[in-house]
Amino acid sequence: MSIVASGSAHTVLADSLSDRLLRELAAPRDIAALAVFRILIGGLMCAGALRFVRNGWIERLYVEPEFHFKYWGFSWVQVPSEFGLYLLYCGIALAAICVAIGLFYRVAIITFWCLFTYAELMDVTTYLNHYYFISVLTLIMCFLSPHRAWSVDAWRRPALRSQTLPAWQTHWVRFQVGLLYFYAGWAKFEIDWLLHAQPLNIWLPPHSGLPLLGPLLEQTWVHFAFSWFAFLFDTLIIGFMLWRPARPYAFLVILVFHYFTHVFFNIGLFPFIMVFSVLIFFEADWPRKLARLLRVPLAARAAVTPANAPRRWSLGRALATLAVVLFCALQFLMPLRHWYYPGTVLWHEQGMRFSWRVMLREKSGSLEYRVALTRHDGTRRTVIVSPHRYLTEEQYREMAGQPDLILQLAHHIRDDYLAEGFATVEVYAQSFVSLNGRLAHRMIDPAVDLASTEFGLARAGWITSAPPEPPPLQRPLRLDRK
Amino acid sequence: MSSERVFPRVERLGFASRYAGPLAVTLILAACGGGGGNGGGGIAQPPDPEPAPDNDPPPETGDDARRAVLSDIGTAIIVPALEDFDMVAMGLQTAAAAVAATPSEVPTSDAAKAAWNTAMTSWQRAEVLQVGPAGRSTNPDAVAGGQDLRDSIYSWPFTLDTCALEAAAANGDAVDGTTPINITGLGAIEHLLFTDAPDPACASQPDAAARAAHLSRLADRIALLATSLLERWDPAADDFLEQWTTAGLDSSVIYGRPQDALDALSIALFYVEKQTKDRKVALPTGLPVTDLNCADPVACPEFLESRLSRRTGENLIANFQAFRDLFTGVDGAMGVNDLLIGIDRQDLADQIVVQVDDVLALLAQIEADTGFDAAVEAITDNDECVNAFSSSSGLPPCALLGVMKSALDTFRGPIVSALGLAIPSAAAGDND
Repeated sequence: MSIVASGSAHTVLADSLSDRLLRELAAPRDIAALAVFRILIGGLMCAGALRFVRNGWIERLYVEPEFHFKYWGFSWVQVPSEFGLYLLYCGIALAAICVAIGLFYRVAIITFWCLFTYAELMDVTTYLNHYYFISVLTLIMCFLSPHRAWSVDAWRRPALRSQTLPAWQTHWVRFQVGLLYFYAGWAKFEIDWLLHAQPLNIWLPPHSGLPLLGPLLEQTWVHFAFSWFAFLFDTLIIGFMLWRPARPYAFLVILVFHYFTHVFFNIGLFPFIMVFSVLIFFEADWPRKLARLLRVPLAARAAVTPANAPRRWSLGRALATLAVVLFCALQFLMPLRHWYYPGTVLWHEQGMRFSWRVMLREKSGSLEYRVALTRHDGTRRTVIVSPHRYLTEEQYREMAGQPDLILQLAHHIRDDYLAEGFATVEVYAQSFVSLNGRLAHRMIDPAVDLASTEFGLARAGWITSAPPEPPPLQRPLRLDRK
Repeated sequence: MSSERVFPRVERLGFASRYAGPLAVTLILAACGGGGGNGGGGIAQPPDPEPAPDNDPPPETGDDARRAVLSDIGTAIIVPALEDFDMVAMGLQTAAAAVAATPSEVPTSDAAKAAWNTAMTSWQRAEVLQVGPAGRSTNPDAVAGGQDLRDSIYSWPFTLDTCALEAAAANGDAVDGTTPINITGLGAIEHLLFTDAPDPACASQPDAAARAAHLSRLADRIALLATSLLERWDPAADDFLEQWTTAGLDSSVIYGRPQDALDALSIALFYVEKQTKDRKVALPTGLPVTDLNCADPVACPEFLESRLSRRTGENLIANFQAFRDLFTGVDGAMGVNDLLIGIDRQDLADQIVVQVDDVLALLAQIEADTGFDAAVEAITDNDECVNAFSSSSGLPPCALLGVMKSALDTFRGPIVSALGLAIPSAAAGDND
């Protein structure tokens, strides 16, 4: 009897929890914040695509290179012709502006995601964390409905209009933004960053031309202070944004932080994306409050009626929720995968991408391939192949410190020579890499034939161990005249 | 002509707008935090009753230090190199005029060859110093303050159009700003000086007098350009030196920060990697690629830079000597190594000098033996060359490439990182 009673109590408790969860996720929230988020991200992405075209990066990054590095599993992604590339980027800009104004939103955001993600998949050497973030963010936006207010769609179709959206839409975006910040911070919990102030010790002194502030950037203690501040900022800032009393101050800190990252580093749209993204942590009606403050006439917030929210889980609702949870779990686990690989990820780079490891390392390398060729008649010869034969300087600079790309080009070289009619091709890499100011060390085992080495998720034994010595700490520049 | 007109104010505007915010923030911080020194209201330090005699100037720090190094490089290396080239270009002009006056006299021709050799050595030093006016003004290789003067003086690696050059000589064409770069400059002079007659395959077959006269016109043009280039830097004329030495100050409209000038220097230094190592050494040895379009299946001596005059090795020495000088400084003046030592990277400063000295020593040995051109022509075994490259010993031109690579890897890797320098063609895209 007691067992039955206990089981019943558990069931009631579980029901109560699941219902509470449903109520929380489905609770109507003012649409204003998400609508503004849509406008800002759409506008920014349109500007970003046009900036890409205007800067001539289509030619530099996609037309000039003869060889493009592929993502694992995406070798089918091909770089279109120059005309096709311009069409692609015009399509991205057009879709983005449609997202911003809310014109055919659902089609526009899906189109944007497809085109933008395709563009990002064209060459690994163009990988940037903030581009990946935009891909993830806009994928999420495909399932949201921020176009139901302040959009052309809502203007054209009154039935679409809504003053509220269910809370899960905000929570999902917040989760993704928060995850980025947290992992960007957690990635800085690292010896080079915290104990040796690298690479800020290298990166900041060249900015000492800043008026007044400049001389400080030469100081070693400032590099340590910035390193620790960046670690704490990234790790904790979302906590402060979630805590209402601290929110305005946290946002001010975010503005200052990203302003300085914009000044110090060539990181393009990243500061803008992050500033726009954290706005989602304000109350859902913040745009209306701001409008009132600025005396801009806006529709008043609709009365929120929780009674309209669903009270019971349906199968469809449960499956949709499960899909979102799985997506979030994947996002949560992905940055942790580098723990599977011994050594520092900054060196072997296994688990580096898609992990929000932002601006963490100064890496430069040199690379040549030694290729042993055997003809069908058994005669052998060895040639030296420079990556420059296939790559632009930009590609070379990026790939020389990334072992998987070194392997990928080795395979391409192998295939090239096999196509020329050689019976066997062996490819050995002479790779030297400097990490965070250390002297250059060999990164690839020179005795390993990369032509017969396959890339996979297993630990890559052909990558050497990271240099054991700590990075050098450069002192503030001082010249003692003789 | 004022420097404002010669060097348009472009970068400074971006700099000002970029840094206006930090300036404001710093002013606020400074206002809140009070200031140091005696004027900020703090406790004034009593004056030192007996200051110790100190003949050493105080250390220079930060951007002042960078400017000091730039100033030394500008005044002790760049300007003297251009002065030297201006002087030897005049010597070449005189010698070429003598050949034109007596085109059939061998001694006169020998004097012209010697003058050209001297000019070439001088220019090969200047090749590594392509900052400011010598550089290009248009993308993708645009240089801040670039005024496109280099290619008219020496257009290599553009292939000389020798038949068009012979035609110009036959026609008595003027040599001026409209003359295509592949039939003018030091390369064209080399062709006329070091070949006795036109290639029989060419349509135009000018006689010795016509060729000598054209030689003289070419030398006149180079002398004019040499003077023009020097004047761009000359404090008494366009004074690019002022732009260089005051980078980051109001007087420099070209370089918003000293770091911008150092970045320009860094990109100029890459000449030694891209041109000296890759084109002048690697291509002729046939090492870097297997599908070279050259006659010999092993090496490609036709790609030697100065094969007619047999002085490619001297070019390499001049390139690397200038590269070394920029690091060590000359005549007690400072160089890039002082910046490295100034941030406690003596290890890198020592390493690059040792490695460049290895290059120069091997080059000297090659020149003392057969000369670089002959050494390349003697390459008959590709595997031997590959092994020499990998071990940096053995077949001299191939071993040289290995030694060069070690030195330049140190430059393009740890040194560029340590000083936060720019590398060429890396402006596309963002970071994160």
